[in-house]
Amino acid sequence: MSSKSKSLYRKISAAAQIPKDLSDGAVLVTATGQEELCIENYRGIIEYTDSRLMLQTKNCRLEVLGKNLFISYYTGEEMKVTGHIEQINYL
Amino acid sequence: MVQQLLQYTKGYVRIRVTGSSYERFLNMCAKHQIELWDLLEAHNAYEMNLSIRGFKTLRPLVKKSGTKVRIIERYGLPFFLHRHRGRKALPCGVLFGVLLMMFLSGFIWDIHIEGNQARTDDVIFDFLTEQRITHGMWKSRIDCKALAAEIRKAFDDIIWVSVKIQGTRLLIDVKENTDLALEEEVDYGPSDLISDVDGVVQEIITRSGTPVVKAGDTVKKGQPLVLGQVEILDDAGEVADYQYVAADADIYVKTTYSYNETFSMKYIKKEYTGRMKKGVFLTVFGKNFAFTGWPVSYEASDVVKEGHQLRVTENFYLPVTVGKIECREYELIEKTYSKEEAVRKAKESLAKFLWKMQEKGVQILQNNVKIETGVKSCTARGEIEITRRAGKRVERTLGVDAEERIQANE
Repeated sequence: MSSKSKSLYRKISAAAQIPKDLSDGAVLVTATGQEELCIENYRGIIEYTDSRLMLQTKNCRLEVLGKNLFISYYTGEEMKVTGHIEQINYL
Repeated sequence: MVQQLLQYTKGYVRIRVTGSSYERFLNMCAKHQIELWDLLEAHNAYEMNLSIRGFKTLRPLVKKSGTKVRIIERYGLPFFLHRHRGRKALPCGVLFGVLLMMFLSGFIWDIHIEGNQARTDDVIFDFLTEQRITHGMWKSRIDCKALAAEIRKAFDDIIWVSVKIQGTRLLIDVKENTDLALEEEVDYGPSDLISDVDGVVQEIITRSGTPVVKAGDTVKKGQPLVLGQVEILDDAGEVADYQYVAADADIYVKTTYSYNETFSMKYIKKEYTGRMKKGVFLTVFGKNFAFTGWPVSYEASDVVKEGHQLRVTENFYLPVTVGKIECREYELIEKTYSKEEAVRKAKESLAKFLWKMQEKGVQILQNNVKIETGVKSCTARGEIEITRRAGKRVERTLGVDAEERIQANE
């Protein structure tokens, strides 16, 4: 998609009030307190240790830093991370 | 919770993945829609759970990602069954259990009645027992429609009934008529009212019949008050005929009541010594078993039983009662009332008597009761002036005119 048609696409989808996670494939991060993180719309895991989780999304990379990170479940659409979360970075 | 149960029934394994490109392995699992849960990094390896079905499709992914997979734990029902495949009694037991449940679910285990206020549960249960509807009966023997109709027929004040079987419960929902039913007037035949008391008529209001006394008259017991015949006059103003009715009137008569009560100054009082023994008892099918562990050696004692009947469901009582049993020793002590005590007791019983009279609708005008205490006894004696309703219904005595007519006919 050229930048011109991309901007048109964005305008149309904004006008149609399509959520960004559907139109752009934006990553959806739902944090519950500091202990729970629900992530949707990612491509895959790049790295996972108990202190660092790196995910590839459509537009950027998502880095979660913390302690005792633990993936409660992991499917193609959704994953849940529990543990002590310290940072969420978009790289 | 539901998901865990589902995972357990389907079975899952915990695997350990070793190798450098474990991320690739994880992503490929996601792509192939193999669900992973409880991922954990441990000792340079990754441990995770996945379903049996997922594990079976894992081989090409493992090969592609160049990792090694080892099962470290097996969970779930399929593994449990496999482990216990040699036990013949287990499936038999399960089968027996299922069959037993199916068999037992063919009975009624609970009868629930709702919506009844004036009619107690017990009354309805007695009726159900009469109809041979009891706990533990076959469900198929109950005809809900017929039972509902029977209940409606048996209880006038129940205006709506719903009977349904839900599982092993018989639910009876009733609606009672909350409008106060009018008191049905008893239809008396032609009858008179006679006095049942000696006194002076205070007030007389006649509803039907002919009054023969008026206010201020003195009446004796047995004297007619209202006759059940009404004169029918002809044009000349003479009696042509009599109409016979049930006499009905409110008659208030002033009368005296002689009150006389005597009681002995000596009395026996029961006093608990405070010594008691405790135990438990069990009643099975009307047979008593007491576990007291003591021989009763008291001269005089009260035995108090406090039982609790066992039940399976809300209203399904078993013929088994368990409870506490207590044996309390007492002594009988002879005592004498003091003068003040005797007077107080006499006054109390008089007050009780007066209150009971007033409850019955008697008006107390004057109270001349005097209390005398002697050495041996105490007496309360005197006249109480009261106004009370009088009138006793008797079958109509044949009047003179009637007799004459009978003779004339003959």
